Amino acid sequence: MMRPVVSATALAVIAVTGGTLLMPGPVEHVTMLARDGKYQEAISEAERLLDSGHNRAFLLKQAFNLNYQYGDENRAAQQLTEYLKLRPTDVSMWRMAADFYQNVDNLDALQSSLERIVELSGDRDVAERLFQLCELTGRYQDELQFLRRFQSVELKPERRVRFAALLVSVGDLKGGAVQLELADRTLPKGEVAPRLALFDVLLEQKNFEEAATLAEEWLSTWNNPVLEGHLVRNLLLAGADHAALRIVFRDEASSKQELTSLGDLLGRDAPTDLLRRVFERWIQIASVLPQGKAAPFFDVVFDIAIRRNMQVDFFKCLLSIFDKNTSPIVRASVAKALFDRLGYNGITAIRTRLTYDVLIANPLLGAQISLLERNATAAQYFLRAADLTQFSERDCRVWFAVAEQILSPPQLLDDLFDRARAHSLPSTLTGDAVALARQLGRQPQLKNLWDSLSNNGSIPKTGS
Amino acid sequence: MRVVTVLFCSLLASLTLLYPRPAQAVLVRREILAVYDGKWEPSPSDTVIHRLAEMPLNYLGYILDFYDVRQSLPPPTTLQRYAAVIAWFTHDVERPAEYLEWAAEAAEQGIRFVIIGSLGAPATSTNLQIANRVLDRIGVKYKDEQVEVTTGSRVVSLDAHMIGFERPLDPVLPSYPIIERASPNADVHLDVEAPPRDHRFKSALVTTGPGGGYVVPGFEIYYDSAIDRAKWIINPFEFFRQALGQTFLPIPDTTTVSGRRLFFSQVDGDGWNNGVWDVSGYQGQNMTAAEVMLHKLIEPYPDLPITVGLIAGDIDPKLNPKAQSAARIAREIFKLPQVEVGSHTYTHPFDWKMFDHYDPSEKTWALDTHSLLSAEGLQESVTAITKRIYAIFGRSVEKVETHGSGPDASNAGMLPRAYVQIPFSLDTEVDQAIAATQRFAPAGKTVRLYQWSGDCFPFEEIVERTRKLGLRNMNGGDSRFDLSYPSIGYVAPISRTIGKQRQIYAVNSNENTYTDDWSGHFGNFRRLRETIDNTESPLRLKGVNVYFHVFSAERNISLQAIRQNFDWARSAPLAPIPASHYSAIADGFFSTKIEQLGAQEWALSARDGLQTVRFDDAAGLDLDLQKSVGVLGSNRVGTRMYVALDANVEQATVALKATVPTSHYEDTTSASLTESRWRVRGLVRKRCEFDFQATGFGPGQFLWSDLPAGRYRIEVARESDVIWTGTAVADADGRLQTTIPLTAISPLDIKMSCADPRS
Repeated sequence: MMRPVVSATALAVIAVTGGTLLMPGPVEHVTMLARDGKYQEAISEAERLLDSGHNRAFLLKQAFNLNYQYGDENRAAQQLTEYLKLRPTDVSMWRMAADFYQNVDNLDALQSSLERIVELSGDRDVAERLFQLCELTGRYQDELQFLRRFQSVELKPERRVRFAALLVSVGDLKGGAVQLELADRTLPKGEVAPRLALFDVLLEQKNFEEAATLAEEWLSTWNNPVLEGHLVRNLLLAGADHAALRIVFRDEASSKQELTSLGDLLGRDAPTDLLRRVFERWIQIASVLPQGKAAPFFDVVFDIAIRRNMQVDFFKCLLSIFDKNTSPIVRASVAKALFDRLGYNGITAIRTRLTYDVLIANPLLGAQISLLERNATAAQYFLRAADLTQFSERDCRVWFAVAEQILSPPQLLDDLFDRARAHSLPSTLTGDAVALARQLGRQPQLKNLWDSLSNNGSIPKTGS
Repeated sequence: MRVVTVLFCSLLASLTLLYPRPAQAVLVRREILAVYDGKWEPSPSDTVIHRLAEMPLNYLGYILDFYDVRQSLPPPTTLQRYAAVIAWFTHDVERPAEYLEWAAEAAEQGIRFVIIGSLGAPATSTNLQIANRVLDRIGVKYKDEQVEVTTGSRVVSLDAHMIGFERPLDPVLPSYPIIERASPNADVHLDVEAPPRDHRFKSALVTTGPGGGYVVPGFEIYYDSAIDRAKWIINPFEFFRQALGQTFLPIPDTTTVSGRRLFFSQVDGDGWNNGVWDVSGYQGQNMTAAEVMLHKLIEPYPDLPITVGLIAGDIDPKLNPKAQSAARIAREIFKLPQVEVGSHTYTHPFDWKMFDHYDPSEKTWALDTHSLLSAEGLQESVTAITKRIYAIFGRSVEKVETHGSGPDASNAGMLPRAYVQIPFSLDTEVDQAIAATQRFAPAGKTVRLYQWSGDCFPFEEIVERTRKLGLRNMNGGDSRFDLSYPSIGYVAPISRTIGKQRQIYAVNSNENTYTDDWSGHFGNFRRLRETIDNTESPLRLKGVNVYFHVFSAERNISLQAIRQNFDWARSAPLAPIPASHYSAIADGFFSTKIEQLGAQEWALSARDGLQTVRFDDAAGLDLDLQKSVGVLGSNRVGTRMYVALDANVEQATVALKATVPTSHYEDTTSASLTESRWRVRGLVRKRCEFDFQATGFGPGQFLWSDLPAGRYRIEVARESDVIWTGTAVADADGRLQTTIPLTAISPLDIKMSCADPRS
């Protein structure tokens, strides 16, 4: 009789205990109500429990979520604030806060939430969103302040450029340069604008050497005469003549197009004082280059002089360099520049100083002057001394024109044949050689020469 | 002698009728030629002009006439009817010299040019030389210089009314050209000095002048491509006003009715047969979203009109097995007095462009049908196509919710139409849709509005078809203005031009843009209020529109969001109207002709449904009711004055005069309607009485002004039967405020007469 009673009692105890254990607690009750779609009841229950001091943080979070989704947004905002006071480092809740404030149109709170997320997590994407928000809404001071604070998060190169520009806008050139240098390392090589900005910031800081070094590096990729002109001009305007011309003459490779572009830029708006300085430095450097390389530089300077009505300055500059310099190469180069533009009158004042060693440094000039002075022997001598392989196409044409006046046609053809045999006849003149051979009936001789050179693979096909 | 006098008077009267206006009446030019390049912006609605400039221009009363510059350009001599030409190119045009030469010739003939951003041509010396002929008339000219690196630039002068409208000028300036001021008549609103390395040249970056206006690229708007959001830098309202040289004019207004901000609501039938998700009291009872909508969103709001657009396919037994119950609900809904009957198409196209010049014999139809018949086989390709199309549009996409729907809806979101069992045809989509819907409307109600479905980009022919049936049309536009869409740039213009037709945009976005195309945040439509607030102040850019889909009724949270919006609307001082009426107002914006009769006197005709004109900066001015004809009264918001016109008067005359402080009114001939919830027409003012007809929803709230102080008797009649009488008092300031506790969905005749004997 006792056994069934004990069993029943035991079962009842187990049932009550189990039931008690399985009964949802008040907090779970809220969850269940929400799960069943009874949102208003869930909100009321959560708020009732909050008032009675239950598990505050958890309930606040639950009440916030419910109110945000289904209830009163103002209460949701209060519950969120309270929760975050209790759990100020709960990043996931700050993220929810950002979403909430975005949805309820609270810009200040959204910004603060994003700021806090970045502080707590260093989340790069959220940092970017924060910067974007400030930029979009025109909160530039906040944007700069956040960029300064959170620059340790890995800024995107474009953001870093923006950061630099903001720093520069408030006068922090040094900071701006640092950021731009960092961006320079990561930006694609073809990205120009930020590099031009860096260049100008370095110039503002009078850091000419670094600016020029970077410019040389960039230009090797860009290969863009307009940009080269821009960089050189800004260097010149900043008073960094040496650095500027270092770029212009960086590997004697400046093309005619590059020089012309630079000339256009300078000729258009550079101040006269600057141009005088440019003339002097430019001519000094150009005058030590081989004749073929120097001519375009002189051309550009002279074009600028004409455009700006500064021919007198140009010639004065040439004469001054001639006077100051005893190097035959420089003197010859300067004299050639004068002769090319003013003819014999241009060199009258310095003729006595155009000695043999000067003229032999530029044999074409020697030949031209000798021709005008009717000294055929000297002219022939200089003509033959000229190394046409060093000549520009234009100088080759000048040489040929002078040679036609000094040498008889057979002599000229022999000279050309000799140069061909010595592999020193530029392709520019092969057509002239062929024409002259035809004129003189010496095609067989030419053909033999051609065949022998062709077999050596050392003569270009002219097609004539 | 008396006979002669009578004859003479009759002749005079006839002549007056024939020539009601003085000979110097001048038609106000409201049209602007908007040039665009169809290569980059295929249609007018793809243009940046449509998306950003048209709304502010509409606000100022202008109508855009779009012109693709790839066509042969119109002879400059034919441009005289335009107030200006506007250009906002995204790329250089194909034949820049030809375009610039045309622009220069037009400018030289006195046509204003408003150029925003790019000139549409590469900045070569030759092009700039031609462009300078246009700019010269604005008072600026290009110098062949560009400031690439702008650090060190200095703002010389900044017009705070013009610059920094939604975003202050960035301390980091974008690259800019040097634009010289060439005329003292030019108003330079942003003048910047280039850095020393660029010779400190001054550049006029934002300018208006006698020949129009010019904003240098990068200084008109700020656009962040990473988050795809834009903000205006210049104040477009001020810029356009000044660039267009707008004088003081009555501006046709689409925001206000009877002195109050207008309200309307429309619902698209999507999800009509959907089951109920979690709406308490409706779960598990085999009820549809349409029924919940009826009981929770329509019946409780008899004071708010709602236009219900039925998808005819939903009530077609051949297409939908639930058609019978759907039709029953439709009938119940349509019979409610506040409900206007609308059509939301027959088969619910999602992708309208696909059906432009549609040939059912071609593979599009095969694709269309096969995707239903063999969903497994072709579903993937259809999905890819439609997704791609939606991606191009980049807009919200209407979806038929799948929850509890018929078999046709299971993949509807991926199909070009919701019902693809029958081929697409204009006849089905319009004529048959209307006929089918009409069958369920009670006697006396006809289908008034055609509500575009899907991407809301209907083609010309179908818009024309709806017009031929005498229907108004609406939807599209997706206007938002809140923190997520933080610019007036997201507030759509009034309409979209498609060839010779015009699609009227809804005033506000529906819940799709708030709920990630109905995929989450289902309660977010509560946020509509932000847009409503932001489009009221500081400028009333739009009326109030609560636009949603039936599927919003299947979830408690989305249902509550709509109820919140309705609850606010019913308590706000609005003028509720049916959606088709708004569409008529919008159509009226484009048809209204304004003629200037005198310095402060204008004639307004061909107004269609539009009965409000706005005067900006009207401080110190009042209506001159003695000279005005067909004017009900006026209301002010700040310095703006909204003038209500009488729809019964075909050609109204609005005359203004300087404000004269008055506290005593002799009689009721000066009665002026300040605002009312109901629409008023047929106003007749007598010495001690004024009568009018009124139509509206909810209680008849009125505020009349300029009345002799004292008690007034109000007598309300419907079809000659007096149904209500009451009294109201005009205070010492001549203001009479009253509420007539009736419903005026069918018109009422109201007589307000002096109750006290006048001395």
